[in-house]
Amino acid sequence: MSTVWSDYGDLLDRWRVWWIMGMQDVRLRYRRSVLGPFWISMSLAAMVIGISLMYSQIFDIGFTTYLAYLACGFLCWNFISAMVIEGGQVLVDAEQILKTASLSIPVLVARMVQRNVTIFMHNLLVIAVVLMFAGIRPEPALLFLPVGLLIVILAGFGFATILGPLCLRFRDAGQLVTSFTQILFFVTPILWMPSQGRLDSVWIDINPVYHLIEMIRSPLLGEMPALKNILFALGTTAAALVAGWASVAYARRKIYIWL
Amino acid sequence: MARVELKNLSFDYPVLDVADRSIKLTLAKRVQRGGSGRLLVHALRNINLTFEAGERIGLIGSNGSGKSTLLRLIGGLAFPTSGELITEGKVTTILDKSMGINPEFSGAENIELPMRMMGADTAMVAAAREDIRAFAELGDFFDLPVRRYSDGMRARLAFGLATSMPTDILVLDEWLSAGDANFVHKAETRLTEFLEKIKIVVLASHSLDLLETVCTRVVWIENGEIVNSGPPGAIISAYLKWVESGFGMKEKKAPLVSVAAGE
Repeated sequence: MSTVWSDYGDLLDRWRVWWIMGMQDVRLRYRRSVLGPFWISMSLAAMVIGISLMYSQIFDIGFTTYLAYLACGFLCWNFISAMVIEGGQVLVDAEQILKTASLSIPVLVARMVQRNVTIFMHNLLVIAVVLMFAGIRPEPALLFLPVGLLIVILAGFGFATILGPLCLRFRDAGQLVTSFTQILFFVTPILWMPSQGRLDSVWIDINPVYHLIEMIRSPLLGEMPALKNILFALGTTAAALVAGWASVAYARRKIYIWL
Repeated sequence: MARVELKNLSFDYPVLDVADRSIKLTLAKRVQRGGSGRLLVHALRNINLTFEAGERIGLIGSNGSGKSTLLRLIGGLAFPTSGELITEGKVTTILDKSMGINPEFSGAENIELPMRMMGADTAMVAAAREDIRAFAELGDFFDLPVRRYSDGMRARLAFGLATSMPTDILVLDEWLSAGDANFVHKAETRLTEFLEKIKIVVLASHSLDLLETVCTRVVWIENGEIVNSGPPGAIISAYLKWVESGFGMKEKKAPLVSVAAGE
């Protein structure tokens, strides 16, 4: 008999299902662009360079320093915000399939995470070129990147297991998530640096997305994330996974009714 | 070992209207006053059934009687509100022709995901790819996107997929059919061979001829309750008599919909 445990067990038992679904999503997204996967990444690079030309002057920061900071920040933000916004749509998007086949929530969440990790990896290659251009060389701190990435992936998984069922039950919740994410972009140090503002640092510290971004951004820029960042990020990830588990346990028997 | 047992199983679901689906309105309503009444559909009531290995079960009943809901419960898509459902053995559910096929990809590319969803391993997927290519007679279309297929070609692909993965318990809604005359014969042969490997088949259909030839037992469901269950011939003729008498309009039925207390 299926339980919430076996739903999570499907991640291993049925990993091919979410893997293939995620890969199909990526292929469809890139299908009509000439340069394939890298087209979207190239536009990211172009935007980052464009904004840097302007903002490095506004903030009076060296162009290459700002460029490297912004490129890595955007890379992380796109990754995390996509997992939050698309995390709300994991079940809504699969509505047709869920009416005729039995797929557990974690499998559909993993499909979304897999898709975004793939896109992140493509973006990372282009951003690596930007970093080389900016004169950033790989430092030993780069070894932390796989660990940081894993923490962010697990957090994204946790967010989606919370938001997926919620946005299926309440069809306007997805719009709220999108609006909220937009606000989050401006209060998170991506365009600006945390050391720069006069803002009381508590507003930065209580922002979980900031700590998650640092898990990837710092190692790319050649620094280890601060211990505070690591602890907050781990706490966020653990909380998201536990709340996500509760959400799956509550929603799994009701999914069909909510379709 | 294959077995399905339904013990005193009931399935209700609330009718969610637009306001119920809005988190803003729901929260606002909570603040104003307590939860309001919501319509509750009693789709299935106190169903007791046992299917043993070797049985071919047919489900009949008028539209909205609860056949499809019962299939979805056995298939594990929906969960009973009360009572118990015990399935022993691997369950495969084929409720329509979509099967997880993505029309943007070719027939060849659309073999693996449906097969994996049914629980196939790598060797089975490889075998199915060759098998379905030969069976579905798609020719060059096998490597073209499925959205370019005719309805018949699509049906042949879906039929090939549906009949390539043996399982313990197979749950089918209506019937898999289509194609030209040549194909119907081929499909019947394939289907017969396939069904021989399945331990329990549960099939909902409006085609009484089909149920009479394929099934060993027919369960007649009406208004969410079992009317009768037994050998196909007897049940089907009783059902036909009931249909001719105007769907038992004069009988007193338990209400299908009631108002529930707010969730």
